[in-house]
Amino acid sequence: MKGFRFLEHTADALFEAFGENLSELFENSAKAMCTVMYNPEKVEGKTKLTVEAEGKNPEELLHNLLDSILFELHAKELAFSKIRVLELDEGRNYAKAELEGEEFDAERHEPRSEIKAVTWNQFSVKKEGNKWVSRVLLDI
Amino acid sequence: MEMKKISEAIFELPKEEGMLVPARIYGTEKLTSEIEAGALQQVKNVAYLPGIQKYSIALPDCHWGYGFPIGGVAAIDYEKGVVSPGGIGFDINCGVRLVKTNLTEKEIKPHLRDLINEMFGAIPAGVGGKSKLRLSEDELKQALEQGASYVVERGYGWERDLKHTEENGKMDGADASKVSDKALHRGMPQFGTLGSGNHFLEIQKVSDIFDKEIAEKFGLEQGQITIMIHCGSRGFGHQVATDHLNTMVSAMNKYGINVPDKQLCCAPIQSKEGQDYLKAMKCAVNYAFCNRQVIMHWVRESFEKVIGRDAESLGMELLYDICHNVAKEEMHEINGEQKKLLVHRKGATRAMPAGREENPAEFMKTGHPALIPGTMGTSSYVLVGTQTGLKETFGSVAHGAGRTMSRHAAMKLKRGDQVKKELEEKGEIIKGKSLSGLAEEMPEAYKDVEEVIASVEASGIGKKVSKHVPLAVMKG
Repeated sequence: MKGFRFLEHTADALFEAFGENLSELFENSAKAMCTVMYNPEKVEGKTKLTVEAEGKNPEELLHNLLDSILFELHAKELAFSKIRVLELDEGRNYAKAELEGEEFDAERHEPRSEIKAVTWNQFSVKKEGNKWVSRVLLDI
Repeated sequence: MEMKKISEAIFELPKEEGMLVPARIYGTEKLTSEIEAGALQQVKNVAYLPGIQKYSIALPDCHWGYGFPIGGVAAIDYEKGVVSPGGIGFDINCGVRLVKTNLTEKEIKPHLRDLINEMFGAIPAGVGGKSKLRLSEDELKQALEQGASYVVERGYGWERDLKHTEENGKMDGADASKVSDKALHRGMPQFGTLGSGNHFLEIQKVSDIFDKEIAEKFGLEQGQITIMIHCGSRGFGHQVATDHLNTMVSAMNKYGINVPDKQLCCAPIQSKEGQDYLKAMKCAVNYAFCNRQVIMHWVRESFEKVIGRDAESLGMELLYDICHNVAKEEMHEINGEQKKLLVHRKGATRAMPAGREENPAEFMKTGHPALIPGTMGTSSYVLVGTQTGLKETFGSVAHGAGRTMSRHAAMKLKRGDQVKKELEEKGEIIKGKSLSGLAEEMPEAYKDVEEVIASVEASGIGKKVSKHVPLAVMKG
């Protein structure tokens, strides 16, 4: 199964990500987001850090997790190659994820578009059949 | 979707259940018929916002955004209405400044390649572009509250630049205590960077003058070289918007507000959430004024280095700096009475006609310049506002050409190196940090800017002063 796919949107970047479970869905959503900014395949895993997020439901949780990752990308000027969900408490909508990457390098990482924010427009996390699907619109 | 023709270039979407006012589209029949259904739905959704006055407005460059359409105006009752951060956008005070020179095309042509290369080295741009100017947290907080004067006092520009910046480069009421640590930390490394996407820096030539008298007062003449800078409040503004949107998503229940899209979330202007957002938004507005001021200073330095003359003798005066993503407190006539409104402009440029108090003294008799950037292969325009515009669109005109093609579709159509080659064959110089970025921003991905400007004039909301064509473009 492909982890994510981009859909048509006039101004911004709209994607759907997929997962067998919520952890996998969150990892694929984060990877899709990083793909908008640079080529994650070109990033080496030299440093690790963890982020935490909470929400009132799985949608808010994913939104806030993506927000936290975006913050780390911008504020610490890093690029990530891998995102692994370490802990996911579906009862209290809490997640902890490990990000692996290195300092952003415009020469090696094939810079694409900067992401301004994760919007709430059309944002969804749903279970379709036996798989989870997210729909995310990024402002770029 | 049912649409009523009001005049040659004004169309109306009638009020439906839930909408508090009708929606109006200012555009020729051709442009209006090309607006995506998603964008029309968004214009209608904006009409649900409590306190909205007259119409939910779509300008000629209107296209599908998130929550609000891009190219939209919503004027809301300041006492009884709401503020919606989505109606300003994530890139708070994304805007444009236009710098004049006394150079001609003939004089600058031999230097163009060197100028673009010099500016490319001097001005950080693109994903992860690292600022050369690292402010501490305390310094950034001062800049947020003081606006462009903070950087001018430190040598980045001339005192008189401030008089040629909207709000004199400082929106009053900015309060850095309403800004999160996250926003400060996203803002610190990006202070003095251009960014990516549709942001650019361009050396242009004035190709046409339409209103001789006003152009003369603006100091613009045919053949003159001008420089346009388009960027915003970078990660700082994006984080301010994100933080306050999240607060309002939770607060809406408390105030019993229902909107059809979560991205339209809002809070009463007079509530703590509303006031906190506005105080933080003003910090982001001031951040962006500083950002464009610093970038302009580096542009002047680049010209001095390459041409070997100082910026003053090159006549590098700022014509004007104006934002197109912002909410402003303004007085407007509603049912024959003056009323205080919060005018949300998202992808919309304020164009106050002559006589309005918002004009700097120098532009009181003409109306201030409204700057409309085009694409890297077409033209940009300087307009002025009209009395019709004041009445119809609360003194607002378009903010650019407006996208018509998705970034994905653009990349499938042509590669970035092809876009660059085609434009260079036409005689332009193009330098970008990202090839995919050049593909996404190809001129074909936008509406025809000539049709957008024709719509502004046909609907009577603005008047052309001059047209500027690109000679050399730097993209993030």
